[in-house]
Amino acid sequence: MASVTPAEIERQRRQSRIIYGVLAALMVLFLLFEMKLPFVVGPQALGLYDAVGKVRDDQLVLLSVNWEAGTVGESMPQTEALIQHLFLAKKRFAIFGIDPIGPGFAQRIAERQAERLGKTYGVDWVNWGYKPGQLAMFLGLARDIPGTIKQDSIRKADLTTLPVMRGIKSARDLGLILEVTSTDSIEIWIQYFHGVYGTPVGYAPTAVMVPEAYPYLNAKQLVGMLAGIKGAAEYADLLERNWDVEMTWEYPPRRAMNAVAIAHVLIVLLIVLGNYQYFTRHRRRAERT
Amino acid sequence: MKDLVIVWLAAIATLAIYSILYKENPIYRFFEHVFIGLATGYSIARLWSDVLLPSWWQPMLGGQWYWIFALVVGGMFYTIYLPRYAWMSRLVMTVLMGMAAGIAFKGFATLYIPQLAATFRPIFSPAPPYLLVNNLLIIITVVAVMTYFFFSFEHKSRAVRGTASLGRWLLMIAFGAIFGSTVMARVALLTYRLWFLVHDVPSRGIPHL
Amino acid sequence: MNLVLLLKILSGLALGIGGLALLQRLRSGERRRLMVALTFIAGLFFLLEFVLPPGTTFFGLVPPADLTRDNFLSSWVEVIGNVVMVVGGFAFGLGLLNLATIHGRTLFRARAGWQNSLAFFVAMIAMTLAGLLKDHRAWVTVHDVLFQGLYQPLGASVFSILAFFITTAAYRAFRVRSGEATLMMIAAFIVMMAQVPIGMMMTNWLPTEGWAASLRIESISNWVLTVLNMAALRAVGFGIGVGWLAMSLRVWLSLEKGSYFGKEM
Repeated sequence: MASVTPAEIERQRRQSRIIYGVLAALMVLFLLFEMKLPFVVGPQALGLYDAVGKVRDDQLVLLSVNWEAGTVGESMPQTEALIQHLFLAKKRFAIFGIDPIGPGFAQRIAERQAERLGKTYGVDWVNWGYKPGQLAMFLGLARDIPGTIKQDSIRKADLTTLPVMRGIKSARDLGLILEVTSTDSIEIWIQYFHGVYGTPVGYAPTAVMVPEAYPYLNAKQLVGMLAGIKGAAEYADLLERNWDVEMTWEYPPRRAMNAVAIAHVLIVLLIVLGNYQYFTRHRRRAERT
Repeated sequence: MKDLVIVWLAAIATLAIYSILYKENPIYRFFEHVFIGLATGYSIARLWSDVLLPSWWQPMLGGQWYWIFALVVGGMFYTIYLPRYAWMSRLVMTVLMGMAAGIAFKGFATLYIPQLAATFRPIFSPAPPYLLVNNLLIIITVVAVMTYFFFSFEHKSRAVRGTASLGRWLLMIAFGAIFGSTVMARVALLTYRLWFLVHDVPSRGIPHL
Repeated sequence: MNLVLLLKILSGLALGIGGLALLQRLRSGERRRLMVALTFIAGLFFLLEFVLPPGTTFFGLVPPADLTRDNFLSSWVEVIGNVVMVVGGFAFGLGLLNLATIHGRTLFRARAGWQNSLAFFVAMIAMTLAGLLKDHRAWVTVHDVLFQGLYQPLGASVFSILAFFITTAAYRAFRVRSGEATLMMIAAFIVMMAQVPIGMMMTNWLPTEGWAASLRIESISNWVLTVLNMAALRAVGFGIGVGWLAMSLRVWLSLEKGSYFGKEM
C-alpha cells in the first residue's frame, strides 16, 4: 500500500473540516426551528412510566444517578423527565449514586423542579449522596438502609429523622429502583435487589448501552427503559399527554430529537457516498489494469 | 451576575474544547487539565462529606474508637509504593476480591437463571403464531451464537460449522444495532452542546434591559 | 472530644501499626498461606450467607434478627458492608497520589506543559475547597461557577467531539465489502432511522393498528432489537457469565495467577 503523503493528509484535514461544518450547521438549523415531526412512544418507555405509577404510598423510589459531565446530553433529560414524573405523581424518592458526581447533578435538577412544583426537601425527596460501589456495601444497603447511608448528603441530618424516610428500612420498602447511568451498574440492582427481594428495576442508560439491556427486559428483570435521548423524548411525550402541567427542561429532549434526526440522515448519506466513491474508484482501477 | 459569569465561562470552555477540531493546540490541552482537576477535586469533596465523614470520622469521634483500625487496613493499600511491604497491599486487595467472588455466586444465580428460563419458551402452544416464531428464533439465535463462541473443541462437523457460521451472521445484526445506538449517543451529546451555544448563550448570557 | 476517647483512638492506631509490624515478620510461605486463608474465608462468608437456609443458627452464636429470612451470618452483612465501604474509600487516594505524582513531577522540574499541571492542581484544590465549604455563601458561588461554568461544559464538550469523528469515519471507513458487513449496515440503518422523527416519517403512511403496523420502521427496529439482537447478546452474556463464575472460583480458591496472586510474597 502506498504511504500517505503530507498533501493527502492536508486534503483529508480540509475535507474533515467541511464535514464538521456541514454537520454542525444542519443540526443548529434543526434546533433553532421548531418542527412538528411524527414521534412514536415505544413499549419500553411506557413500561417504565407505568411502573412509576404503581409505586405504593408507603414505598420509596430509589433514583440511582451514575453519570458525569460527559453524558449530560443524554442523562440529564432522562433524569429531569423521571424527577418531574416522581414529583407530579407524588412518589417519595431518594437520590443516590456510586459515582461521586451523579447525585450532585440530580440534586440541582430536583431543586429546580421542586421550587416550581412546590415540593420540600426532606419530605418529598432526599439525597443520600455518594457511596463507593463495593458489592458488600450493596448487600448491606439492601438489608439496612439507614444503617448504611447514615446521613443525608445536603443537611447532614440523621436519615431516620427525615419525614421522607418514614417506614423505610430495607430493600423491601423500595417500590422501584431507577438507574440513570453511563456505566455498567445495572447488573448489581438486578442481582442483589430484584433477584433477592423482587424490587422492580427501571433503566435509563445512554444509547450506547441500550442493545445490551434487551436480554434483561425480555426476562422481565427490568420493568422498562429510557433509551438515551430518545427515551427521554418519549417520556416527555408521555408526561405532556398525561399531566395538565407545563413541563420544563434545561435541555428539551423533543426539540433535540429533530437535530439528532438530521445528523442520522447525514451519516447514512455519507456512508452511502463513501461506498459509492470507493467502489467506482475500485472499478476504474480494475478496468485500467 | 453569577449566571452571566457561568454562561460566558461555559461558552469559552466549549469553544476552547472545539478548537481541537481545527487543529491540536495548547488552549485545548490547558482546559483538558482544568477539567481533570475539577473532576478530581469534586470527587475528593464528596468522598469526605458523603462517605468518610458520616461512616468513619463521626462514629469514631462519637465513641466507636475501634474505627481507627479501618484507617490501618486502608493504609495497607499504600504499601504498594514500598517494595518491602508491598505484599500487604496485595493482602487487602485479594481479601476484597475473595469477598466479591463469594458474592458473585449469588449474583450469577439471580442474573442468569431467569434469563435461561426466558430463553426456552414454548414453541407449540395456543399463543399467536408470530410469538411462537419469535420464541423459536430466540432459541436458534442463542444456540447458534453460543456455538460460535465454543473454542474448547475444533469445529469439525459440518453441522457445528454451519451453526457457528449462522451464529456469526446473527451476531452481525447485534453489532449493527450497537453501531446504530452508538451513533445516536454521540450525536445526542453534540446536540446538547449546540443547544447551549445557540439557545442558552443568547437567552441567559445577554442581560435583559 | 474527651481525652479518654482520644487515648483509645491513639492506642488503637498504635495497636494497628504494631499488628502490621508483626505481619511483616511472617516468612514468605506464611504470608502466602495467610492470604489464601483470608481470601477463602472472605468468600466463604458470603457464599454461606447465601446458601444456608433461613433460621440456621450456629451453637446459638449471634442469633438471627429475623428467623424467617436470616441465618446466623446475615446480621454481619451490613457491618461488613460498612467496613468495606470505608476501607474502599481510603483506596481512592491511590488514584489521587498517582495523578499528583505525574503532575507534581512535571511542575517542579518545569517540563514542557508545566502550566497545564499547575492548572490541574489549582482546579483540584479550588474544587475540593468549594465542595467541602458549601455552607459558606462565598464558597457556594465559587462552587457553582466552577461546576456549571467549567466542569460541566468541559466534560460535555470533550465527549461531544466524538460525534464529529464518527461522522467523518462514516464517510471514510465504513466499507460494505462482505455479506456480514452488509447485514450489519442494514441492521444499523433500521435502528438509526427508527429512533428519529425523520426515519419514522418514511413509514408514517402505514396504519398504527393491525398486521400492516408491523411493517412500520419502528416496529421492525423493535423486532430486531428485542428478538435477534436480544438473543445474540444474551448468548454473549451467558459466555461472560460462565467466565465470571470460573474467574470467581479461581480467585476464591487462590488458583489465579497474575499481578496479585502469583508473585513472590
